[in-house]
Amino acid sequence: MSSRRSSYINVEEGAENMRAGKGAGEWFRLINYERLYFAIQRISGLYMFFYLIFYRVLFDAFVSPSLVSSFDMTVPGKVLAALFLVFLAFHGLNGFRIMLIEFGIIKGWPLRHPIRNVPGLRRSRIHLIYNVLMIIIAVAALVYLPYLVTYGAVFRP
Amino acid sequence: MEILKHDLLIIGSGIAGLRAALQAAYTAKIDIAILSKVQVMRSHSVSAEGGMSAVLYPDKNNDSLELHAYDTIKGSDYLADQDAVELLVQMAPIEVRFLERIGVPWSRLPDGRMYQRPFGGMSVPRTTFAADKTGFFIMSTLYQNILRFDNIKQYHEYFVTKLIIENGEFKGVTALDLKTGELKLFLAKAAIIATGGAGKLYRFTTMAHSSTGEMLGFALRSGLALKDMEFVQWHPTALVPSGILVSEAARGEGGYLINKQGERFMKRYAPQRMELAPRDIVSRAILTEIAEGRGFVHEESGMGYVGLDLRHLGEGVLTQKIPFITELAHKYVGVDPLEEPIPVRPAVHYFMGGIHVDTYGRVLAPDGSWVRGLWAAGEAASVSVHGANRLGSNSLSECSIWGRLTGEAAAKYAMEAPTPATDERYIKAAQGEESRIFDKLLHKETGGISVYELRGRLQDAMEQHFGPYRQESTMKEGIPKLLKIREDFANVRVEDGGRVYNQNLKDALELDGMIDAALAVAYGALARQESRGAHYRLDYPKRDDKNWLKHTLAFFNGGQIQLSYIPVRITKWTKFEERKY
Amino acid sequence: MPTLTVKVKRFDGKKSWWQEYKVDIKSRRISVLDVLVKIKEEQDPTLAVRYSCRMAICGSCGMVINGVPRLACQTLLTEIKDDTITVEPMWNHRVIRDLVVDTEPNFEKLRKVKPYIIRDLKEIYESDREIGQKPEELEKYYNFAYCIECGLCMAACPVVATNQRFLGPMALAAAYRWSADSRDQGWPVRAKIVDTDEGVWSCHLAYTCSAVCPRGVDPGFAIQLVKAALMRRAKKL
Repeated sequence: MSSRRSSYINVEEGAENMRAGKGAGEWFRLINYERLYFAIQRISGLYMFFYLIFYRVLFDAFVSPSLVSSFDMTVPGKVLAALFLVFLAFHGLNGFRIMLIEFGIIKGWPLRHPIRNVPGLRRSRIHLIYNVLMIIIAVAALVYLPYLVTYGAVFRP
Repeated sequence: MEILKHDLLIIGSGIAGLRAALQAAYTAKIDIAILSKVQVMRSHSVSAEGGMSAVLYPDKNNDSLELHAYDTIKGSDYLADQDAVELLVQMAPIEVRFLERIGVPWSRLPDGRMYQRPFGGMSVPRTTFAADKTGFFIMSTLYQNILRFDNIKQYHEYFVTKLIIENGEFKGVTALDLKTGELKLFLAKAAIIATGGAGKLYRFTTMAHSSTGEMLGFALRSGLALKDMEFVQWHPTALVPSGILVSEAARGEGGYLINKQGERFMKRYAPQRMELAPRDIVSRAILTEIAEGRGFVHEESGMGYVGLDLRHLGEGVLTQKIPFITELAHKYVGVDPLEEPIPVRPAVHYFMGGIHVDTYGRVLAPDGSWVRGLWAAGEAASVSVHGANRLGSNSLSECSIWGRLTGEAAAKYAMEAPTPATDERYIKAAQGEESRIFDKLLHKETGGISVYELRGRLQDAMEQHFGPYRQESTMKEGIPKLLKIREDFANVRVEDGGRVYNQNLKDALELDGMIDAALAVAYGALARQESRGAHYRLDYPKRDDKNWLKHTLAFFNGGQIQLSYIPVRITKWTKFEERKY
Repeated sequence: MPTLTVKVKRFDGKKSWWQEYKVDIKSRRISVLDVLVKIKEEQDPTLAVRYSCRMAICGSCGMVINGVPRLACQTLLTEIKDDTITVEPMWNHRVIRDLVVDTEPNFEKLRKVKPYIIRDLKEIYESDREIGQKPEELEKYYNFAYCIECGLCMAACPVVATNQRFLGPMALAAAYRWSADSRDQGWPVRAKIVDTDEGVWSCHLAYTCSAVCPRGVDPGFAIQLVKAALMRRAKKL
């Protein structure tokens, strides 16, 4: 296209012919913190499924139990196991939060103010307390559970 | 060329258009199409803020249909057709109750009845409202209700370019599909024109970018007549510098207008009603205060303004009854209404004039005969119910009522009329239109004037020469400027050569119609030698009932605008008082 | 006054590219829409933008400004930190041209939840009855009636991105608004429509819809209220 006033217009060709945002990439746009929980929920769910069913159950039962035990003692094995436990803690806590909201136990009501509208969940005190507790427990899990795995308290041969 | 056949076409999708669609779809099982140049739910009716006037509870607040009619006729400076006003006041409560039944969330009193607030020019509070977004709630409800009927088809973003009227009968329209860039021919048995007003003829207006009024110009070209175009209403309170509307509800809830010295200057112009006098009186009062140096001045744009003081209303009223105004003040001006007065200035808001129709909405040709199959409703039509000046909140009632009347009448007509034949003549007319648009307009790459520059010249000319205070000498200078713009349009350059969503071409087509509508306003204003309602002349400051109690009709005769006059229909209110508030 | 740099993601039907414009402005109290219209009128008339009311009530000008879906007329330059604005069309929608997207799927989904008063049709159209409503009954659904159908919530929802048949926050909030209205008798009909996998149950509480809604409608919360009503088998909302 012509640019008669070319000093003001700068054309940069070659960008991908992308449909405006589509697919699983959308999970990772962080605009509010509940979306972050949503993304981690999905990722942790997928990871736990693959770790538990493919590795722990199927691989262990049908391929080679001794390979599984020896891999568990190595550092990558312990990292994957710790990650599984941490994800389990987060997934469970967030899932419980979702259940409380869906059952209507966490109540609030949107505040329709001329200048600053406040969505309903932000005005619910139980939701705020639960969020704080959830973050504290998740951070504690992030520190404690890998410790447990490293010193062999769980996932023993 | 794609040819689409429907039974009823509704051009424009504001409150009048959607109400007509609902009524027509319920009355008869006919095939209805709504054509709108923006998406159907985005019409400018959504910005209406104040309310809808109706006599709902006559015994509770000592109201009566007679009083509402009297207020309307006196407010219109006795130019309104009194049989149309009687129809308005009779049907308004029926319409408010209908809208309540289909789901509009009217604001309520504790016992379940609808809340009514005082408004400009009304002697008794009779304006039903829904917070201060009445137009939005009505539009939203009407739009969602037309999804119930599957015989209504919506054509989003179809720009109508020409009306095909032959032998005094409506045949069809040609419309440009913006999404694909194709011109399509629509043939129909009946049509309702509800395209709204023409605010964008002026620079400082409360109307949206889409309210350009080009359909009024296209109606002139098809041989129809425009009535009372010189009556243009300036709304007293619009934000500076954007022109966004601050509803009359702010004054209805008790707001004051103050000048630079802090006095409520309205006591010198309308001692009884003060800020709730009719809009033309308040607008002229504000402009006089600014002209005499008692107004503030906005630094960036140089516009003068006065203050709308809402500080004494308290936070409760501001957040419950007029929250939208509080939000607009915070956002677009940066002013907290609880601390400072809001800067306001008059802006063009409503066109009392429009396509010439009779009491029931049937479009009449300049000689008075009905153009068979064509109706017009809402702001685009001039019934005329508002005469020389409209009272606030009467327009939502008018749109809903005439939407219902024309929808029902058009549906009954379409049931009996024969199917439109696909005549060769219409296809030829459509192909001629196609070549006019795509070959002539679209292929001027170099030279000529840009569409936006020409539109800016039109807006400046209208603002300077045909403003709220008119004078023979300035108007005589203005008309040659408009005629020069008309000539220069032949050299306009459309820079966007694409087909898909070509807004540059659409803006050029709009400008084409806007120039003709502006000429109708200009000639009508120059000819009317009196001051009545919104049309105020410094050289003829008094109302002249002996010579000028008549409606102006403007129509094209051999390429030039010609004016003729028809009398006002008078029934009961024969005493013409002087308007003192 | 500074010079703004506006980066727009353009599309002409075949290829898409980023184009940069430099605009001189006189005041910062104007909106991004005013800047785009200035570009259209003075520099590049081929830029396609949808706009109408310029006061955040019609819902035409939805687009993604600096990474967040917003209405262009509601985003003032005072809210933008530095002098660069990045504008792209709404996510999750097919682009027709430049910043104009195809919003037809949103309206189809809205139609599916029957967004009107379901009651005896003859009573609505032919009688002259005033049904009446108390202020408490009005409050139950009033907040959710503010929806301007701009589509920003549909652009922000991650589930709409992956599941094309999900009804989305716009339609589901409308389903709540009409069912909770005291004048309506249609909750049993609508409950069957939303109680499916493409209805409320695909919502997994990402809540971005409520975070971006320009009118504070809070559609995410409306969906949770519908879920709560479905779970306790409410006969009336």
